[in-house]
Amino acid sequence: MSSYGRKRKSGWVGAVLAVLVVAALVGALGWLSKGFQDWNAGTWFDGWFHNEEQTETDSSIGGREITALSGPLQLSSMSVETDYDVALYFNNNGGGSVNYGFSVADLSGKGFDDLSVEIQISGQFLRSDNGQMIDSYILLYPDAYDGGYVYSFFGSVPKSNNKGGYSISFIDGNVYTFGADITDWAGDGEPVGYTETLTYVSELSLPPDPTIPHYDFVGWYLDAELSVPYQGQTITSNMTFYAKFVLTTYHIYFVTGFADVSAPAAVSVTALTAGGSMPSLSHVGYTFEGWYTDTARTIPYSSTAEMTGNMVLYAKWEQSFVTVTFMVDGSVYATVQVPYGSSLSAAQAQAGLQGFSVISFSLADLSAPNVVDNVIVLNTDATIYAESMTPIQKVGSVITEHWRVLLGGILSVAVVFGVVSVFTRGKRHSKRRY
Amino acid sequence: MSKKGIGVFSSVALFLGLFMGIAFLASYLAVFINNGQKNFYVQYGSAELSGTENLILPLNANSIFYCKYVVPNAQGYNVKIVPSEHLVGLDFKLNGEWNMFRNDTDLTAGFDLVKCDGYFILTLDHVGVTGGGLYGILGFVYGYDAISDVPDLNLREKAYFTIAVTSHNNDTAVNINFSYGYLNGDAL
Repeated sequence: MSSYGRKRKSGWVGAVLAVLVVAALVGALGWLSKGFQDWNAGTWFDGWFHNEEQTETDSSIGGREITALSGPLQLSSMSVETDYDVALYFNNNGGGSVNYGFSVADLSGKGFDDLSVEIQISGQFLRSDNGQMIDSYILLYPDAYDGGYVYSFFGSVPKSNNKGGYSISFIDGNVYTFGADITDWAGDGEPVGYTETLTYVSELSLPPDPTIPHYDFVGWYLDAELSVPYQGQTITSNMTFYAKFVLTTYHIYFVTGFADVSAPAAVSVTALTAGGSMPSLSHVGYTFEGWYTDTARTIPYSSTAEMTGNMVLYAKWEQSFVTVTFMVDGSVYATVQVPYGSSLSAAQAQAGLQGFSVISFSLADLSAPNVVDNVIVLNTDATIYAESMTPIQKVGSVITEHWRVLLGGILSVAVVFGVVSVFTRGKRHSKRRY
Repeated sequence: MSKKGIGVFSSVALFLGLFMGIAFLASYLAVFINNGQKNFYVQYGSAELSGTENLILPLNANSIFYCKYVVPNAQGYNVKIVPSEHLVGLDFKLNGEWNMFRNDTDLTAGFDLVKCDGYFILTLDHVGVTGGGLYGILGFVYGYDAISDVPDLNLREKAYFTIAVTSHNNDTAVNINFSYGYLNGDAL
């Protein structure tokens, strides 16, 4: 490349650089003149407007004239008891995005309860003309201001000709949610310095139901006497809620242990009170020993113990016994205790009277004889009269009772004998032959 | 097994078989003979009843009568209570009409008789003694409103009733005449 050419090229580059420097200087001046708002290339912040037409630049928000756009927006009140006014319109006439800032202040001096714990702004939005919600980041920081607190947040408007609004939520010990309801959007004759009313948009969100052992939470009440239940009314002022509890009702269930003994109906008992006495049961042949709290029937139920939960009671039974006296030849031969419902023959065997024949028996309650499946069953104390059998009768009795076994044994022996005989004979024959 | 061992075993088996067979037959025969060579009999205590017997049954007691066969596998019997010879011929009014006791008049319903397989239980309570005697028994049979002019009998004096037991095929009959006794264990 010739030196001439190089000179011509360097001159062109220098001209471009000069233009850029001038442009940068102009931009810097513009940014400085606009104060608060950030500046983005190709975007100019035209100021704050209080009407949609963006013709009124003398904004007054909440009855207080904004004198400095970079200053905090002061609300007339930030108390939940009073509606307060907020207003914030802006217009981005540029083609790019523009940042904006907005602050709310609590002038009541009360501050937001527990805001030091957490403050959250939700639903903050920027709205474009087409109604599309545009995400924006939010930056929050509490700051002392006039005895109250200032909360600022910032957003970004990426498109031109956008309008902004916001909603905020403050979360403290209770939850209050607010939203911006911009009125008189069209500027239809409202006085300059119009206001927007921040309205209550959400009901109180109650905390999770509190729990106390052995109590049931009934609900929230509005008075200390717990006579006026909260029924979801709109919260318009600071309120105190009173939790109402009632003692839990526990139930006692029963297990009888016998399929033919119906379990009593479950008993309802108020928590922390004694369960009291439980119903008694009866079952033929058994004595009811009471209720127990474990399946092994080792821990008796206490009627004075406070109820601290649902309970299952298990019935404990003891088998009943009857006394059977055996009389032989006018004298007591034996007295035995047999389980209720035992057969007469079982009692006879227990007394060692197999060789005796029962002639009659008397029941203590003079009841009729109880015969079940052809067997005399003893359900009460009894006296049995028996006579000794003769030896022949004993043999006959054995044969009569066990004749099948005896006959089977004889036949078995005969068969074995026959088989052995045939086998041994066969051996002998074969030995003779050879 | 050796030849000697087999021989010993067979001898023992033969001995046992013969012994048991003889014992079985002997006992069977003994029972049969003891029963008077009747196949069917009734055992009351140690007494084996056949033919016609007389008993005094205890009061307020359940008397057990075993109905047995010498042939072990035979089963079944029939039982009812009928007037004995002391009662037959006496009369009473039934539904206003005179009615005579016959030896086939069934009085079972007037007693507590439980029939079981192989035995039956007869319970004598105070009805027969202090509860109206024969009138009380007939009241159970026919209904008290239906009877009148019933003989006033002392049921302890004589055996006015008979337990008529027959074998399942009615071939063998055992008639047990009984009178009312006292409480079991008391002196009769």
